[in-house]
Amino acid sequence: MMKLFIKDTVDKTGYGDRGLSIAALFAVILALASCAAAPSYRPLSPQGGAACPDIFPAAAARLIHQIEITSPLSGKSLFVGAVKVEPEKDALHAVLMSVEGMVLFEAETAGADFRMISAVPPLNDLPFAKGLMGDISFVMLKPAGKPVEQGADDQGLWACRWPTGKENILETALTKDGNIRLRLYGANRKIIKEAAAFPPFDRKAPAFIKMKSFGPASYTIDLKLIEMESVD
Amino acid sequence: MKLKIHVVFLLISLSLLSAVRSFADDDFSALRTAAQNVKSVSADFIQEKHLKILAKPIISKGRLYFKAPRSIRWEYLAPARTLTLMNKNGAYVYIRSEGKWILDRAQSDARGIVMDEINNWFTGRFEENAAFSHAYQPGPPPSVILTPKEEMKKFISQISLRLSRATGLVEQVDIREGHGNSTRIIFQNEKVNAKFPDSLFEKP
Repeated sequence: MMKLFIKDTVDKTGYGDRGLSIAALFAVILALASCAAAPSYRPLSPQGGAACPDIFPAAAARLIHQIEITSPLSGKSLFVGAVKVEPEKDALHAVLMSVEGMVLFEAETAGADFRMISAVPPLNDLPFAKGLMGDISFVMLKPAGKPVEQGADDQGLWACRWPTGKENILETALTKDGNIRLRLYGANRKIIKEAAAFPPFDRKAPAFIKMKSFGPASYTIDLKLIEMESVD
Repeated sequence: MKLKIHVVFLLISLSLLSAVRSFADDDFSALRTAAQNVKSVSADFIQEKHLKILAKPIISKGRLYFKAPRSIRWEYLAPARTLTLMNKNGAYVYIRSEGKWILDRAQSDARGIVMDEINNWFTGRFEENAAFSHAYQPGPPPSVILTPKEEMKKFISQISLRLSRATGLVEQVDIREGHGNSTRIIFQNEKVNAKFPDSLFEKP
């Protein structure tokens, strides 16, 4: 989740000096040490039957979002993001822009392959850029294979869990008010990021996603779906 | 005899070219003078963002107010709502969040650079930014082509400003970026030299 936030934030900066403001924002985000109360990881109570809740497009699609990032030091910033997701190829192509349309970051991934197409400094830092794409994957790409756990969580919510890169676990859960919750747990089973997805859902894509990071950097990212279209 | 004809043809061609060039220079000068006489402008704008990965552009709509010498209100009304104000104190970016205007400090300083450039365009001072070279194309429509010189080349390959022959004002902006991406801004319903309160440029 953190990565997604950063990505979106980064996408909004401009050229030259604008990059400085992004750098400042980035530095601020990384410098923050917030100890948010993170949910603990417990085994699900085994149950079967229901389909796993998810928000991942089942077929290739293009999505455009308004992205609002909030961090304690830099406040709120607004960006626009466009992404082409191709689940059958495990592929993403993402563009982050300022509201004025300036492209701040563009990259694509396919499986483990990563290619940065363009980025305004400091977004051109490779590990950082990969992290940004990882954040987008968190809310756009369903993990391959079947879930390793299905059942009720400690709140009684129907949930599913999949293993994902670097021994992480992705969990999806259907909340009592009809929202879908996503959580990413690290190898130590501490939560890394969380997202709440709100209806209406268009071909699974939610109208609104609110993400929150846990760990050293604390921020929230709100994604408001502007448009979605299927890729022919 | 044949050589003579060629020489005469060449001379005629050169004189015609010279006349065209002279007309173009005069034309550009007149357009710039007209733009410099503009004291205020209001206009709606439509922004089309073309991305290689999208089948159709992202359309944004907004409104612009300009008042000489250096006041701008650049507001996006949809789909995302943001507002940039430039006045004698600097540039300020606001975003609309949860029904309120919130100052985006992280982007305000940098946005001043962009607003200065827009200010140059609306006052006919196309040569003002040293990061770009400029060239006039008489058209029609008459246009100024801005080409980045150094670092900016990485992000922008060309900016084309289409000018109104009547007022010298920018009617359309085309920004060509790399990797098949571009931005077009079309100004509509332009009103010249209307009176605006200063408060329009000072607070959301």
